Amino acid sequence: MRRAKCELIGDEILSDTLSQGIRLYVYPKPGLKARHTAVSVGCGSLDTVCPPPGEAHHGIPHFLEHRLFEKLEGDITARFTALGADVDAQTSFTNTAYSFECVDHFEESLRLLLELVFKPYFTEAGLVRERQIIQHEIRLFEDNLEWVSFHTALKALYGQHPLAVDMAGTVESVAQIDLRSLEGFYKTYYRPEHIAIFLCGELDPLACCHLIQEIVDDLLPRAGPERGEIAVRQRPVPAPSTVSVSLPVSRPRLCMAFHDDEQGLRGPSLLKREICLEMAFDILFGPSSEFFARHYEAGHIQAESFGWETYAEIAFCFSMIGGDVDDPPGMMEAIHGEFNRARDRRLIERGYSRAHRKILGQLIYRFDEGEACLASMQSTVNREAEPFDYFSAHAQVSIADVASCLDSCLKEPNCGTAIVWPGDGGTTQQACTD
Amino acid sequence: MSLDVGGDFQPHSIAKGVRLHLRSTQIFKTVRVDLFVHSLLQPLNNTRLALVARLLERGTRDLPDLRRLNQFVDDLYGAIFAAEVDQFGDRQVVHLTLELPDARFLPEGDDLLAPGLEFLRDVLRYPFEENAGFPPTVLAGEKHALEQHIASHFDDRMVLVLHRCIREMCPGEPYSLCVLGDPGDFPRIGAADLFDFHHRTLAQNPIDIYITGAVASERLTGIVSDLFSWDRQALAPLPPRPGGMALASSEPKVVMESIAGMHQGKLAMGFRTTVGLADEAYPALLLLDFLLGGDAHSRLYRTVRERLGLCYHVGSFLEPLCKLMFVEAGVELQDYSRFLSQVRNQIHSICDTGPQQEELDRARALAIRRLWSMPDDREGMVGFSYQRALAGATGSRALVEENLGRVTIRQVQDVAQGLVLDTVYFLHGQRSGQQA
Repeated sequence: MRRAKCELIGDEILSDTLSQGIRLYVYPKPGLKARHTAVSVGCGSLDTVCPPPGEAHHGIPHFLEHRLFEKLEGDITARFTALGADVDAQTSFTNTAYSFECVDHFEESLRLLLELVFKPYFTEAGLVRERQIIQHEIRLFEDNLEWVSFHTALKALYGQHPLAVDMAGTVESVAQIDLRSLEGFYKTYYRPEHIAIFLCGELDPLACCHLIQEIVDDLLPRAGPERGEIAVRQRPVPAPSTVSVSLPVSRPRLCMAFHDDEQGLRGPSLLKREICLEMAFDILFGPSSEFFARHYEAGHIQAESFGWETYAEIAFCFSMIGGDVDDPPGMMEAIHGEFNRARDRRLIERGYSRAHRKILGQLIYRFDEGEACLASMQSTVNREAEPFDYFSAHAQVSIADVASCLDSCLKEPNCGTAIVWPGDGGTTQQACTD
Repeated sequence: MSLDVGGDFQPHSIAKGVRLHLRSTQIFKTVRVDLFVHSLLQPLNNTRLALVARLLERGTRDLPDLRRLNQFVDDLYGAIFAAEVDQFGDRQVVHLTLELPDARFLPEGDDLLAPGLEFLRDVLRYPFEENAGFPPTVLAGEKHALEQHIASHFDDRMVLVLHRCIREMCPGEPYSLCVLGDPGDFPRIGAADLFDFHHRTLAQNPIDIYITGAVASERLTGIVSDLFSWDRQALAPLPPRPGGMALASSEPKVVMESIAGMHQGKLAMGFRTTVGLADEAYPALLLLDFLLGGDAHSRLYRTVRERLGLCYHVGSFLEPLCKLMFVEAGVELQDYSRFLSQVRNQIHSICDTGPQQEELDRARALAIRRLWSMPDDREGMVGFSYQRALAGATGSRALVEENLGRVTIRQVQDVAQGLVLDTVYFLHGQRSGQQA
């Protein structure tokens, strides 16, 4: 197995590739009580096209995630629970992950997880029930302010691109998912070369590797089935606008999304870009900034809701900032004004050391508790990096790197804006004027 | 350096009513400090404490404004600091947290713990003051911010529904008060009297400090004793635990309201039980909650969600200090009656024949596993320990596991029979005149 060691935190991760092409990462953490395991499949809500004949179904990866829990014997969750294991699954823009956490019965739980992923069992009756459940899920999130503002901001920036569509799809798109499209999607994407397995806890990496190889040998046929062609992910093209919607909330919510011109990065350079964007936001708008103090003390922003996040993937890269504000246009202007003010680099230079040190502390947190370690492994490997590349990427970030974000991302022409106004429904959209 | 003591905290008395709970362990790369100042939820005081928590983040005598305080925290390699109010049953606690990278993992090996603890002491004991009070402009700002925060808090309709259900269910009881306070109290709260209130609380109320990390016990108890010993008065007496059942009538109260623009209804059902966290029958109640709606393979999940497709979100949970249980769900108006029937049917079934052995064993396996993996989750471990201390529940995690292992079908049946549906609260988005 390959070893990667991080000298700063003293941990190491061992990795290998199984004979079928599945990648394996094991993070030994002596002293932890629980073992955490995740199987990550390289398809997410951006992947909507099912072969043949190339129909698009928004929400199919998420639908499939739900349906894989049903087996001939019933919901596989019951068998995990009987072993004392908590099982979960999640669909993101780019990946679908199935995970469990256990203390005892690790081998049995591992076999169950691999059965969950590699032994699909689809029925018409199950599909009909699932449509109802997911339609309830979609409606649940239609009332969720964070969710609505997030997706509306992506619509404001990217128009009809799949990034702007709810990961669960729409009520209409879910109604059209049938057995044929589900099975076709599964066969296309759930292939060994698209799959990585991650483990963290008090584990023997070599023993885990042998065990998983043995289980996968039993579950997967020797010759791969006929494979469908994977549709290339559509690169998002910014078409900035301002979109207003209303929800029965107490105050307006502003959400500004910024498209990064530096698209298509991968591996350590992508991690470095993510760190640069996070540092730029922290220097200009973070708790230590003059902007935050001024606007908080004036009552313009609320500590509980004001914040930002960067979504840096191979298929896309954007950042968002916003929060609850009484005057969304005024705050938009203030944020753009601060980016403009920062272009002479003095603000970045003054804040660089503190922000750089702060990010190092935050990276240490990401490799602390077991669940965080599991998430960090997935986040890096799914972007063609190694988990500890974060630390070397961090060390390489310079003032110039952080400042470059202002030229290629954090500027008005790259910004789409969502405003959620207090009200009882409705959407308006206007194009951004130069 | 102390060895890991199996996840339990070592108690040390620091001063009258001030206790340190120490968990020395090498498995984490950060050190976590949780400091709790404990009060009963009371009218007016709940608002005072909510404001105090916000003001403690606004400056100290050495870091006299928001920006300087935040810069100090950021300079500790991005330490995580927060001052909040939390609720445990009918108790309100001012909760300070500080999380710091361990010196072993920092490039220059800086010890952040001693300055971090001194900072926490200053936040608590020496908040920035003007003329023996909180700065009036800062207090005015925080009143405005708190009012906004309360409104935003209830924008989450499931949170709003639960709060309204509790308010209907427990009028006049401390539990019905909002832990974030009531803006209607603001005119009665001034800068000087709030400052005095805060210092009285520090002098009288129990304070518990939990520290988890690779820390040397002797050194740490010395530092904490130096920093957190001050003049303490006789502890303010806290009333005894609630006695349990307090129903106004034998029929549940049903309240339905609407908000225009909501896409999906939200439902809360409030039940009274006779069993609290410190009671002998609590393990049976805990397993009842798990198998009814507390985990992903519970009865409610399997029936109302997976089999009948009535909802996506459904679950149950306990309020163990006040002897209450709740069921919550996102349900469409047209499915409301059917959903209620299903919940009642499931509870009646458990009352009549008890759970099946297999489902009881499943719930037990999950509960025990979560108990044993708890040391991996520092925040969860602190919350578990503190809640048990508030409830007066004694016994180690090993004893809790043993008790869970002894729960029988009959015992679960008995606690189910002790459940009484008190209140149903349903919020939907339909206009008035439309019926369920």
